[in-house]
Amino acid sequence: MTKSTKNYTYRTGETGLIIRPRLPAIDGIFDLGPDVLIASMKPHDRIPEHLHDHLYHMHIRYGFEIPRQDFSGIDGVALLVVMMIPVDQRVDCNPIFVARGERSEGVCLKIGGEDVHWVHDEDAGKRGTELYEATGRKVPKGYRFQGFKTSDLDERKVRRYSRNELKAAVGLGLRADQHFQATWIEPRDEPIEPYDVIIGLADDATPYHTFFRLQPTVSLGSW
Amino acid sequence: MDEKPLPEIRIKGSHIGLQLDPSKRSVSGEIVHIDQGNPKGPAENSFIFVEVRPGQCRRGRYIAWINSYDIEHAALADPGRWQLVEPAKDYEEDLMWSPYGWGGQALPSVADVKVS
Repeated sequence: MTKSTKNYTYRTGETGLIIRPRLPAIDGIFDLGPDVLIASMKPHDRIPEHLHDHLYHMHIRYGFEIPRQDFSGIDGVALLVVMMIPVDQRVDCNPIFVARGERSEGVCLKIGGEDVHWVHDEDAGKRGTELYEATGRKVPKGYRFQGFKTSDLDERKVRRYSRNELKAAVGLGLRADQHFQATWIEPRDEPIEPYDVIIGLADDATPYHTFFRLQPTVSLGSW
Repeated sequence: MDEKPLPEIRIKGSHIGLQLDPSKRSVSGEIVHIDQGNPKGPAENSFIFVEVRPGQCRRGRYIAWINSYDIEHAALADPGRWQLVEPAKDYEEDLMWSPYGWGGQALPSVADVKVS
């Protein structure tokens, strides 16, 4: 059991909602094996919750941890994720998974009594770009950050969580996996060459953020 | 692009959106969510764009949209051209199927961001 940690306090006095990337832990969802973070697939049969399975697509997958924390000063917050992908592709999110269900399906995380879904958010993408470039990095030509915020079940409106909803969901520490599928913006009969994906995790209320890179083949030492 | 004969199939799904032609005050396209996959046509749970052509058979292709938000976004990006159909209506039509399109105009996408 981890001890409760105070949320990180910035010099400005703002507190941060701590979230840390991890290797994924739940194997077999969408037929992805151990330590597969990036995988390009040709069109295949339907798997529930899988997006773009009928098109050429690329799976993107990582794990994350929200450690036990007291969320003091944090209320009404949406989680945020940004992903750097080529400009001729789009990426779409699956719900957050906390276990594997029947066959290749995932079991969804619930916060506030509802499965956690994501909605596209242009402001999130812009914020991701600003945070990424704030430390001297540049988004390469031909790429851009696509951004998402936690949403309602219809994936049309941003869903923010109260401090108590977060405490109830995180408890003594939350560990989950997140999947995405990328595909061509305009579908085409062409496989997607796997590429490194840079991802940022943050929220829309605190300054806390973290960036990491996913690779088609995980480097030894990542475990 | 030369028009080659396309297979004609029957599709079943939910009609969730319209593309409008303001100049002609008519419907120029339909967005359909496929409820029942067709082995010779669109897969289950796919979203397709159906081009409505006066006096001609409809033709359909895949689009990489995933839900109603894509239509809402298109309506913002291209005002007057897109309309949600709510509640969704049952849809069953014959059309010519070309999964990757016929070289027509690209549709708006939530992923369309201007790169500086």
